Amino acid sequence: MNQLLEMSQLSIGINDVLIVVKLMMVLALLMYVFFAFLITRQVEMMVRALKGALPLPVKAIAWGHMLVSLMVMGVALML
Amino acid sequence: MEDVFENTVGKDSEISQEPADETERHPVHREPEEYSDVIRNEPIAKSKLSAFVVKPKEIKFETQDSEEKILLLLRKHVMTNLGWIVFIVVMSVLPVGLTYIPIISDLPGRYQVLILMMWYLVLFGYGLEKFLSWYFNVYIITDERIIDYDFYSLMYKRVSEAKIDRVEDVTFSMGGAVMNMFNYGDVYIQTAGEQRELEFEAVPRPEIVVKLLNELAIEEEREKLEGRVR
Repeated sequence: MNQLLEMSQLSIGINDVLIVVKLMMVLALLMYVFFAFLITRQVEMMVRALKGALPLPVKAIAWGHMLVSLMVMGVALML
Repeated sequence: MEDVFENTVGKDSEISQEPADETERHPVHREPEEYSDVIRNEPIAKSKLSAFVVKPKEIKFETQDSEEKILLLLRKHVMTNLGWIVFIVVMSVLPVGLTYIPIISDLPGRYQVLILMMWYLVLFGYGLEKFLSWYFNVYIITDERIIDYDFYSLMYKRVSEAKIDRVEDVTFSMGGAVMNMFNYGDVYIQTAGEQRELEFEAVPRPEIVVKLLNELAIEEEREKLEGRVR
Protein backbone atom coordinates (compact mmCIF):
# COMPACT_ATOMS: atom_id res chain seq x y z
CA MET A 1 0.00 0.00 0.00
CA ASN A 2 2.80 2.35 0.93
CA GLN A 3 4.59 1.50 -2.32
CA LEU A 4 1.43 2.29 -4.31
CA LEU A 5 1.11 5.67 -2.56
CA GLU A 6 4.77 6.51 -3.34
CA MET A 7 4.25 5.58 -7.02
CA SER A 8 1.13 7.75 -7.32
CA GLN A 9 2.96 10.69 -5.73
CA LEU A 10 5.84 10.18 -8.16
CA SER A 11 3.54 10.16 -11.21
CA ILE A 12 1.90 13.41 -10.06
CA GLY A 13 5.37 14.92 -9.68
CA ILE A 14 6.36 14.07 -13.26
CA ASN A 15 3.12 15.55 -14.61
CA ASP A 16 3.77 18.72 -12.67
CA VAL A 17 7.19 18.96 -14.21
CA LEU A 18 5.72 18.47 -17.67
CA ILE A 19 3.13 21.20 -17.04
CA VAL A 20 5.88 23.58 -15.92
CA VAL A 21 7.95 22.70 -19.03
CA LYS A 22 4.92 23.26 -21.26
CA LEU A 23 4.17 26.61 -19.60
CA MET A 24 7.76 27.72 -20.02
CA MET A 25 7.73 26.74 -23.70
CA VAL A 26 4.43 28.53 -24.36
CA LEU A 27 5.75 31.66 -22.62
CA ALA A 28 8.98 31.53 -24.63
CA LEU A 29 6.98 31.08 -27.84
CA LEU A 30 4.68 33.96 -26.93
CA MET A 31 7.73 36.19 -26.62
CA TYR A 32 9.06 34.78 -29.88
CA VAL A 33 5.81 35.53 -31.73
CA PHE A 34 6.14 39.13 -30.52
CA PHE A 35 9.74 39.16 -31.82
CA ALA A 36 8.52 37.76 -35.19
CA PHE A 37 5.86 40.48 -35.34
CA LEU A 38 8.52 43.14 -34.66
CA ILE A 39 10.55 41.73 -37.55
CA THR A 40 7.60 42.24 -39.92
CA ARG A 41 7.30 45.87 -38.73
CA GLN A 42 11.03 46.33 -39.13
CA VAL A 43 10.87 44.97 -42.69
CA GLU A 44 8.07 47.42 -43.52
CA MET A 45 10.23 50.27 -42.21
CA MET A 46 13.29 49.06 -44.14
CA VAL A 47 11.41 48.56 -47.41
CA ARG A 48 9.89 52.05 -47.07
CA ALA A 49 13.34 53.55 -46.48
CA LEU A 50 14.98 51.75 -49.40
CA LYS A 51 12.42 51.30 -52.16
CA GLY A 52 13.07 48.62 -54.74
CA ALA A 53 15.35 46.47 -52.59
CA LEU A 54 13.76 42.99 -52.80
CA PRO A 55 10.51 44.21 -51.21
CA LEU A 56 8.30 41.19 -51.94
CA PRO A 57 10.64 38.28 -51.03
CA VAL A 58 11.76 39.99 -47.81
CA LYS A 59 8.19 40.76 -46.74
CA ALA A 60 7.07 37.22 -47.62
CA ILE A 61 9.89 35.67 -45.57
CA ALA A 62 9.15 37.90 -42.56
CA TRP A 63 5.41 37.11 -42.62
CA GLY A 64 6.11 33.40 -43.26
CA HIS A 65 8.41 33.38 -40.23
CA MET A 66 5.68 34.87 -38.08
CA LEU A 67 3.12 32.37 -39.37
CA VAL A 68 5.43 29.43 -38.58
CA SER A 69 6.12 30.78 -35.07
CA LEU A 70 2.32 31.00 -34.50
CA MET A 71 1.94 27.42 -35.71
CA VAL A 72 4.68 26.20 -33.35
CA MET A 73 2.91 27.97 -30.50
CA GLY A 74 -0.30 26.23 -31.52
CA VAL A 75 1.53 22.89 -31.34
CA ALA A 76 2.85 23.79 -27.88
CA LEU A 77 -0.66 24.62 -26.66
CA MET A 78 -2.01 21.31 -27.95
CA LEU A 79 0.61 19.21 -26.10
CA MET B 1 18.63 89.68 -104.00
CA GLU B 2 21.63 90.76 -102.04
CA ASP B 3 19.37 92.35 -99.45
CA VAL B 4 17.42 89.16 -99.07
CA PHE B 5 20.64 87.19 -98.56
CA GLU B 6 21.97 89.66 -96.02
CA ASN B 7 18.68 89.64 -94.14
CA THR B 8 18.66 85.86 -94.00
CA VAL B 9 22.20 85.77 -92.66
CA GLY B 10 21.24 88.36 -90.11
CA LYS B 11 18.28 86.30 -88.92
CA ASP B 12 20.35 83.12 -88.74
CA SER B 13 22.99 84.78 -86.62
CA GLU B 14 20.29 86.02 -84.27
CA ILE B 15 18.82 82.54 -83.93
CA SER B 16 22.20 80.90 -83.39
CA GLN B 17 23.11 83.43 -80.70
CA GLU B 18 19.97 82.81 -78.63
CA PRO B 19 20.74 79.28 -77.37
CA ALA B 20 24.30 80.36 -76.49
CA ASP B 21 22.92 83.10 -74.23
CA GLU B 22 20.42 80.64 -72.75
CA THR B 23 23.24 78.19 -71.90
CA GLU B 24 25.24 80.94 -70.25
CA ARG B 25 22.28 81.96 -68.11
CA HIS B 26 21.20 78.37 -67.18
CA PRO B 27 24.28 76.14 -67.55
CA VAL B 28 23.58 72.46 -68.17
CA HIS B 29 24.08 70.00 -65.31
CA ARG B 30 26.69 67.44 -66.38
CA GLU B 31 25.98 63.70 -66.33
CA PRO B 32 28.18 61.64 -63.94
CA GLU B 33 29.58 59.68 -66.92
CA GLU B 34 31.06 62.93 -68.24
CA TYR B 35 33.27 63.61 -65.23
CA SER B 36 33.69 60.30 -63.39
CA ASP B 37 36.01 57.51 -64.49
CA VAL B 38 34.48 55.23 -61.87
CA ILE B 39 30.95 55.58 -63.22
CA ARG B 40 32.19 55.26 -66.82
CA ASN B 41 34.32 52.18 -66.31
CA GLU B 42 32.75 50.14 -63.51
CA PRO B 43 30.37 47.40 -64.66
CA ILE B 44 26.77 47.55 -63.44
CA ALA B 45 26.05 44.78 -60.93
CA LYS B 46 23.16 42.52 -61.92
CA SER B 47 22.63 40.77 -58.59
CA LYS B 48 20.37 42.43 -56.04
CA LEU B 49 22.52 40.91 -53.30
CA SER B 50 25.69 42.66 -54.43
CA ALA B 51 27.61 44.77 -51.91
CA PHE B 52 28.98 47.17 -54.56
CA VAL B 53 26.32 48.45 -56.96
CA VAL B 54 27.13 51.17 -59.47
CA LYS B 55 24.09 53.19 -60.56
CA PRO B 56 21.40 50.89 -59.15
CA LYS B 57 18.37 51.28 -61.41
CA GLU B 58 15.47 50.17 -59.25
CA ILE B 59 16.62 51.49 -55.87
CA LYS B 60 15.27 54.73 -54.45
CA PHE B 61 15.59 56.11 -50.93
CA GLU B 62 12.95 58.06 -49.05
CA THR B 63 14.59 61.52 -49.09
CA GLN B 64 15.79 61.33 -52.68
CA ASP B 65 15.19 64.40 -54.85
CA SER B 66 13.60 63.95 -58.26
CA GLU B 67 16.80 65.03 -60.05
CA GLU B 68 19.20 63.28 -57.70
CA LYS B 69 20.91 60.15 -59.05
CA ILE B 70 22.29 57.29 -56.97
CA LEU B 71 25.80 56.65 -58.22
CA LEU B 72 26.97 53.98 -55.81
CA LEU B 73 25.22 51.78 -53.28
CA LEU B 74 27.40 49.96 -50.79
CA ARG B 75 26.89 47.29 -48.16
CA LYS B 76 29.37 45.58 -45.91
CA HIS B 77 31.43 43.02 -47.82
CA VAL B 78 29.75 39.61 -48.13
CA MET B 79 32.65 38.09 -46.19
CA THR B 80 31.50 39.94 -43.05
CA ASN B 81 28.52 37.55 -42.98
CA LEU B 82 30.74 34.49 -42.67
CA GLY B 83 30.75 34.52 -38.83
CA TRP B 84 26.99 34.21 -38.33
CA ILE B 85 26.59 31.79 -41.26
CA VAL B 86 29.15 29.41 -39.71
CA PHE B 87 27.45 29.87 -36.30
CA ILE B 88 24.07 28.87 -37.79
CA VAL B 89 25.54 25.83 -39.57
CA VAL B 90 27.19 24.62 -36.34
CA MET B 91 24.05 25.27 -34.28
CA SER B 92 21.81 23.45 -36.76
CA VAL B 93 23.91 20.30 -36.37
CA LEU B 94 23.92 20.54 -32.57
CA PRO B 95 20.46 18.93 -31.93
CA VAL B 96 22.02 15.60 -33.00
CA GLY B 97 23.59 15.61 -29.55
CA LEU B 98 20.32 16.55 -27.78
CA THR B 99 19.52 12.91 -27.04
CA TYR B 100 22.67 12.73 -24.91
CA ILE B 101 21.48 15.52 -22.57
CA PRO B 102 19.71 13.67 -19.68
CA ILE B 103 17.01 16.30 -18.93
CA ILE B 104 15.88 16.50 -22.56
CA SER B 105 16.17 12.78 -23.31
CA ASP B 106 13.93 12.05 -20.28
CA LEU B 107 11.08 14.16 -21.71
CA PRO B 108 8.35 12.47 -23.79
CA GLY B 109 8.93 12.31 -27.58
CA ARG B 110 6.40 15.06 -28.44
CA TYR B 111 8.17 17.50 -26.08
CA GLN B 112 11.49 16.67 -27.70
CA VAL B 113 10.01 17.37 -31.16
CA LEU B 114 8.67 20.73 -29.93
CA ILE B 115 12.05 21.70 -28.46
CA LEU B 116 13.61 20.82 -31.82
CA MET B 117 11.06 22.98 -33.68
CA MET B 118 11.73 25.87 -31.31
CA TRP B 119 15.47 25.46 -31.77
CA TYR B 120 15.29 25.74 -35.57
CA LEU B 121 12.75 28.56 -35.38
CA VAL B 122 15.04 30.65 -33.19
CA LEU B 123 17.98 29.83 -35.44
CA PHE B 124 16.02 30.93 -38.51
CA GLY B 125 14.93 34.13 -36.77
CA TYR B 126 18.51 34.90 -35.84
CA GLY B 127 19.65 34.33 -39.44
CA LEU B 128 16.83 36.47 -40.82
CA GLU B 129 17.66 39.33 -38.46
CA LYS B 130 21.34 39.18 -39.41
CA PHE B 131 20.51 39.10 -43.14
CA LEU B 132 18.11 42.06 -42.87
CA SER B 133 20.70 44.01 -40.92
CA TRP B 134 23.32 43.36 -43.62
CA TYR B 135 21.00 43.98 -46.57
CA PHE B 136 19.39 47.23 -45.41
CA ASN B 137 22.33 48.92 -43.65
CA VAL B 138 23.53 50.66 -46.77
CA TYR B 139 25.79 53.51 -47.74
CA ILE B 140 24.60 55.59 -50.68
CA ILE B 141 26.59 58.04 -52.75
CA THR B 142 24.52 60.27 -55.00
CA ASP B 143 25.66 63.12 -57.24
CA GLU B 144 24.79 65.52 -54.40
CA ARG B 145 25.05 63.67 -51.07
CA ILE B 146 26.48 60.83 -49.04
CA ILE B 147 23.90 58.92 -46.99
CA ASP B 148 24.43 56.30 -44.29
CA TYR B 149 21.42 54.15 -43.36
CA ASP B 150 21.69 52.40 -40.00
CA PHE B 151 19.02 50.15 -38.57
CA TYR B 152 19.80 49.41 -34.93
CA SER B 153 18.11 46.65 -32.95
CA LEU B 154 14.56 46.03 -34.15
CA MET B 155 12.79 49.33 -34.48
CA TYR B 156 15.45 52.03 -34.51
CA LYS B 157 16.64 53.78 -37.65
CA ARG B 158 19.36 56.40 -38.05
CA VAL B 159 20.05 58.23 -41.29
CA SER B 160 23.19 60.36 -41.50
CA GLU B 161 23.97 62.41 -44.53
CA ALA B 162 26.44 64.98 -45.76
CA LYS B 163 26.51 67.16 -48.84
CA ILE B 164 29.39 66.41 -51.19
CA ASP B 165 30.53 70.04 -51.03
CA ARG B 166 30.86 69.71 -47.21
CA VAL B 167 33.35 66.84 -47.47
CA GLU B 168 36.74 67.93 -46.20
CA ASP B 169 38.80 64.78 -46.03
CA VAL B 170 38.40 61.17 -47.16
CA THR B 171 40.60 58.32 -45.98
CA PHE B 172 40.38 54.58 -46.06
CA SER B 173 41.99 51.76 -44.14
CA MET B 174 42.44 48.08 -44.80
CA GLY B 175 43.89 45.97 -42.02
CA GLY B 176 44.39 42.25 -41.69
CA ALA B 177 44.82 39.34 -44.03
CA VAL B 178 41.13 38.78 -44.73
CA MET B 179 40.49 42.43 -45.64
CA ASN B 180 43.46 42.47 -48.01
CA MET B 181 42.62 39.10 -49.52
CA PHE B 182 39.01 40.06 -50.30
CA ASN B 183 39.76 43.75 -50.91
CA TYR B 184 37.50 45.51 -48.46
CA GLY B 185 38.02 48.14 -45.78
CA ASP B 186 36.68 51.15 -43.90
CA VAL B 187 36.21 54.59 -45.49
CA TYR B 188 36.21 57.64 -43.20
CA ILE B 189 34.66 60.85 -44.49
CA GLN B 190 35.30 64.05 -42.54
CA THR B 191 32.72 66.72 -43.15
CA ALA B 192 32.25 70.33 -42.16
CA GLY B 193 28.66 69.69 -41.12
CA GLU B 194 27.08 68.77 -37.81
CA GLN B 195 27.72 65.11 -38.47
CA ARG B 196 31.51 65.40 -38.23
CA GLU B 197 32.44 62.01 -39.59
CA LEU B 198 30.71 59.39 -41.68
CA GLU B 199 32.14 55.91 -41.62
CA PHE B 200 31.57 53.28 -44.28
CA GLU B 201 32.42 50.04 -42.52
CA ALA B 202 33.96 47.06 -44.35
CA VAL B 203 32.90 48.19 -47.84
CA PRO B 204 34.25 46.46 -50.93
CA ARG B 205 36.95 48.24 -52.99
CA PRO B 206 37.42 51.26 -50.70
CA GLU B 207 39.97 52.81 -53.08
CA ILE B 208 37.29 53.09 -55.78
CA VAL B 209 34.90 54.67 -53.26
CA VAL B 210 37.52 57.27 -52.34
CA LYS B 211 38.24 57.94 -56.02
CA LEU B 212 34.54 58.51 -56.75
CA LEU B 213 34.19 60.86 -53.77
CA ASN B 214 37.18 62.85 -55.00
CA GLU B 215 35.72 63.08 -58.51
CA LEU B 216 32.41 64.27 -57.08
CA ALA B 217 34.11 66.85 -54.87
CA ILE B 218 36.01 68.23 -57.88
CA GLU B 219 32.79 68.38 -59.91
CA GLU B 220 31.05 70.24 -57.07
CA GLU B 221 33.90 72.80 -57.08
CA ARG B 222 33.54 73.19 -60.83
CA GLU B 223 29.79 73.60 -60.52
CA LYS B 224 30.29 76.38 -57.99
CA LEU B 225 32.88 78.16 -60.15
CA GLU B 226 30.75 77.89 -63.28
CA GLY B 227 27.53 78.78 -61.44
CA ARG B 228 25.90 75.41 -62.13
CA VAL B 229 24.88 74.75 -58.54
CA ARG B 230 21.45 73.05 -58.28
